[in-house]
Amino acid sequence: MIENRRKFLKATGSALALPWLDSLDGFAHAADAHPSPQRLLMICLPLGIFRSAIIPVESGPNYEPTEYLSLIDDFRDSFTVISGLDHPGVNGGHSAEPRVFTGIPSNKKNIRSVDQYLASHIGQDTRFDSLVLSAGRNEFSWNDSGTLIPSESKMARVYAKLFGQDDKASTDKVLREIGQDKSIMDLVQRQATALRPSLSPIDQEKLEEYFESVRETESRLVKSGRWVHTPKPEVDLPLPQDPVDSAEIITQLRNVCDITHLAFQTDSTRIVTFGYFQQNRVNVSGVSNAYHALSHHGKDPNNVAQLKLIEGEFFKELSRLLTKLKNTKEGDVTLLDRTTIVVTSNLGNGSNHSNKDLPVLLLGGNFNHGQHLRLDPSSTPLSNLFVTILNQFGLADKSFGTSTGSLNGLEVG
Amino acid sequence: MKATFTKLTALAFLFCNFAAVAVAEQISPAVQSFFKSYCVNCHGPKRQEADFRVDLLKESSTMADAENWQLVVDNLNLGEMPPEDETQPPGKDRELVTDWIETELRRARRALSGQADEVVLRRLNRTEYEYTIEDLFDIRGDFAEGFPADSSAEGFDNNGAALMLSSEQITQYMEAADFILERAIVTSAKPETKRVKVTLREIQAGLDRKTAEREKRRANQKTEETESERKRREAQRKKGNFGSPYFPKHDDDALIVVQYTKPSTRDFFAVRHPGWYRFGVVAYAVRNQGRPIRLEISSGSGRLSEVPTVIDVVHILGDEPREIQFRVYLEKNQRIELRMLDGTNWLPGSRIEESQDVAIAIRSMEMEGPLIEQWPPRGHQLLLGTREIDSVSDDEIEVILSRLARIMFRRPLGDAVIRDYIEFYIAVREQKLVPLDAFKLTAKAMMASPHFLYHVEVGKEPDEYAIANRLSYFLWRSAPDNELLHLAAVARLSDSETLSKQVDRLLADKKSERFLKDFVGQWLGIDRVGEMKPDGKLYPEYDDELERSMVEETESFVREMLHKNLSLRNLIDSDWAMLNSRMAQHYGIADVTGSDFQRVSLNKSETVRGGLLTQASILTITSNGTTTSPVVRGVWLLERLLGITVPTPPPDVPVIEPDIRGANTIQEQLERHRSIAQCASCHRKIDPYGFALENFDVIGGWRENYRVLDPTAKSNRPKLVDGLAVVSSGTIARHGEFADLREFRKLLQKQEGLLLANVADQLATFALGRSTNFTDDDELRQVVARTKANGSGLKTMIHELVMSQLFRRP
Repeated sequence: MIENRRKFLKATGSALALPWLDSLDGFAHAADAHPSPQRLLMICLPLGIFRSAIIPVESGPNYEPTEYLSLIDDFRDSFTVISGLDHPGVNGGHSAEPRVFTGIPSNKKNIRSVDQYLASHIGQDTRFDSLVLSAGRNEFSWNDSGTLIPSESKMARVYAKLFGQDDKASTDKVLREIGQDKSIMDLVQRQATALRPSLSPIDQEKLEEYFESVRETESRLVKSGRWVHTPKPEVDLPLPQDPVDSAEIITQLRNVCDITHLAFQTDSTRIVTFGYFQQNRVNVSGVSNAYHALSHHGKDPNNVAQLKLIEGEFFKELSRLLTKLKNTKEGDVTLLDRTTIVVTSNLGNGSNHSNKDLPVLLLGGNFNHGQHLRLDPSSTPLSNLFVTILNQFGLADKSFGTSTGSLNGLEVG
Repeated sequence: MKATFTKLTALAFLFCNFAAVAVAEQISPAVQSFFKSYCVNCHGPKRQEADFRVDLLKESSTMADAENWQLVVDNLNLGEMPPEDETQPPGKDRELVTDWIETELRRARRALSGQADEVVLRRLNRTEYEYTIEDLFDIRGDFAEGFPADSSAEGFDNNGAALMLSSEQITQYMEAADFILERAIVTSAKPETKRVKVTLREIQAGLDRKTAEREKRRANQKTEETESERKRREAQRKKGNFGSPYFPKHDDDALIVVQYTKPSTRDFFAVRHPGWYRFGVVAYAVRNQGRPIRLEISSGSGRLSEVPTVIDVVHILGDEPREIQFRVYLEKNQRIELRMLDGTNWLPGSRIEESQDVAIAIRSMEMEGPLIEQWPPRGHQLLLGTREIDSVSDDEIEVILSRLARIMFRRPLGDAVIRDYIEFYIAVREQKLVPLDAFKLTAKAMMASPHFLYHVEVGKEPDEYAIANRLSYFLWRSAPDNELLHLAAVARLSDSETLSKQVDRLLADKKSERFLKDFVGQWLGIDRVGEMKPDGKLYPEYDDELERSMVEETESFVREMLHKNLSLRNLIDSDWAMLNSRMAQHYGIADVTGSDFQRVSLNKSETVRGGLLTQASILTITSNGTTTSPVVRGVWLLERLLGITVPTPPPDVPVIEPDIRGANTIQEQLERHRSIAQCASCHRKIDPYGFALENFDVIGGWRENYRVLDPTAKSNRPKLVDGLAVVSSGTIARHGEFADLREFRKLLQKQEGLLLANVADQLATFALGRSTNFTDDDELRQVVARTKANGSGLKTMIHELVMSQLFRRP
């Protein structure tokens, strides 16, 4: 079926519009333009990660794996633990959460997270610029004008968006609607322009947000118009069942990971973010207290034990995702080789709300892995890592947020 | 503007930018010498505590200058400065300085008025959008479900500066408009209103009949039962509860319902059109021995993936049949379900008459609907009047769109604006769109227009329509109605008597409940009840009903104050409370029955309850589900009640890692952190306010000892034991010592001035959708003074605020 469609598209000269797919039969595809498309997955655990269970005592390559790292020990050569990074000027405990991927100091307006910045550069190559998903939370993705990108927590909806097939009639309808919506955007822009002179300077500034959003909506309409002609990929995964009870944190996380894997595999997007969080009760065996309450464990052994069970589930799921990425071949390499994953938190210590010395895992992609990179606490901004990542994606940027350069010690060879 | 502690770091750094000069010469010599004697040592060239220098203060030529003076006068007035352990100035010197600063600030206010950069152009937040649609179109639905959450500033989610807009939001607006217009415009005949009344026995008979028919059919076709049929039959068998022979007939045609069974309207009434329905049930209690049995009434699609919406939980007490009625908006294929919350589960197959458990007998259920008050429905009439869309000619469109624009944009707009829409309609008609589609598209464009999405106020001063909108969105959270728009059109809203009558009218209307819940929820933070659920092992008595009730208690309390115009002093302490049986039980107060909230007189010698501070909602949101923290409670009290902003810890202070191992009392733990000088300066002021509430546990119950889990008990069989004894005494700087909450409240009553000023400030912030600043101070003070002179009532304060100049300037 796919093959036929490809042939058809090739024959009609629109093969370039087809999203990048693993070539089964040697046909040319979009990857010709991007011979090795890189992906980025950014994950935040906003309640912190219990420190001694993730950060090894020893630094360098010969560290003894900690409790959580032993859960992903099969991939030891594919990740690096980094300690000592944080965001200068970002404080306020939980209120630092929206800044974890932006690095903007707490006394400034929060704008532009690294995932969205990257999306603005490479997003046009895929059907979706980025996916902002939630395994309980995601307030990490911010656009250039300082607006939070809302997250999607229903994976069935994301599935439909990514893989739901449209028939010809509905394609025509979609195209017609896109045209109509564009004409509405034109009209309301005229209205806003006419309104502008009668407003005070600060309100005119506020109205800029409206203009910007309308223009952005327009360009999205244009982009979706282009993609309407390209059939969506077909996948084996059945429609995910979204848990009804928000306490089903493991099911939710698994669904999010499954969608992430498929989105990367089908090249529907190259950028995904999500957060692992639950305020209240979680359905994890052996856990009776609320996740948030447990994160403020006060060193109480019973609290710590339960907290580790919840966090341990995350690392088990991470291991599952890494396995799937590794088992997915893309030409000569695996999908894991082309997927950079960052796992971190806005809290260095969940119990006392410290925003210093954040736990960071860098996985996959093309880095000098297999080590614990220990930096002096508060000596290096986390944004330095973001610069390194942007460079890996071929961007020449020398700075991001409060960075002071890129992060040394990760270069291959 | 709120009073502030000494460390207002955000403002103070401004000073460092000025070259060091002596206190400017325009400043009165008396003030200069006061500063030299009492302030400059810590806030001068040598040391800059909190990054603040008094020697650099100068006459206010900018807002920042003025706000620094405000900081100084607040600290002097509150007695925060000089610190207790420093030499104190004589009262008359202090007064002389504060008088001079007040005069300077009055001058600055006049000079700087209008320079405050506050956003007036704010968009409708999600709440306002939903209510606006509800009132204009009479349409409910989950059209706003996907809207991104609105961010808050100054504690409220309607703050113009904080309300952002994104292309995601625009996309959501477009989708919402499609949904709303599709539903509003009727293209089919008026649906028939049906009314069906049944007994459970009749439902069962119907179900039995269907089963029999199916079996007969299968027998005829001689086919095997399919899997889905088998499942259905199985489900039916389980459901067979209410008519099955297992159920004894109670009397006449009533049947008993136990916990497992869920009688549903689906069995006798199909909802084919979204709209309003009336549901009734006649029920009474069985074997309850005087205890109320709770019956939950919910609506939903019945899909497992959906959590039903609880309409109400009623307490069934007597054995006299009682009719309960609700008016409910239902979506297509939704049903109403009844569920008994008490008693035990019935095991299918067991003989119910052998059970001695409580039960509810249902005599009958009734559904009527869709209830149609007007045809075409309100939304259609708003858009098209009584016309049918197909009959709309292109000549009429100008009239239709002009009228529509005035309603949707909530004010008349110039011809040019309307002309855009008319031309748009004609253009899309020329693209061969039928009138229905062309009209929908045009109306959709209106709903994406800045005139619809924002509170647009044009010109230098708010006009009559702006006042109508402000008032309506303040007290109804929605668009002004015809009466308000008419008064604006005839320019009567500048007349204070008319305006005052409108305030009364809006508050008397049911729609003012939206204001009450929205304002109280955000101001007091009780919209966060339930976010941090108490530990189930430590607090097994916490459940959904208690959670709902504690929110309702606080809402009822403020509602009573509002409608009876009671003094705001009641917030600190009152000799009455609003309780239902559940809350009364929670507080150990006798003789309150029923799920409805009622005013109860408190015997103050028997109970400590009264005012806001003892309400479970407040005590719950200031806990983390496992433990309570005097710091969090202290901050809540200072900020929410007294309006004193507590600064966040300075970034250079090391955070103390909580270590709850060992048997330290909370006072001991906090003592540690108050022994660090940097912490002590603030925590000395915060913590005692929290200590006063230490006798209340995580869910607002009274405690003499901390509740702890018996460490020797097995974790699956938790046992609760008494921990350390609670200490709730403390000292508030400059106000004195207190031994317990009762004494503490007496001290608090002396700070009534701060309370009134704070409520006025909170109301103004919410009403205007912007942060208040120092140029608003005079007017806010007048609002407070007038309110105080008239008995300090909450309603009076709302009147005074709307009458004030604050309400009629940008």
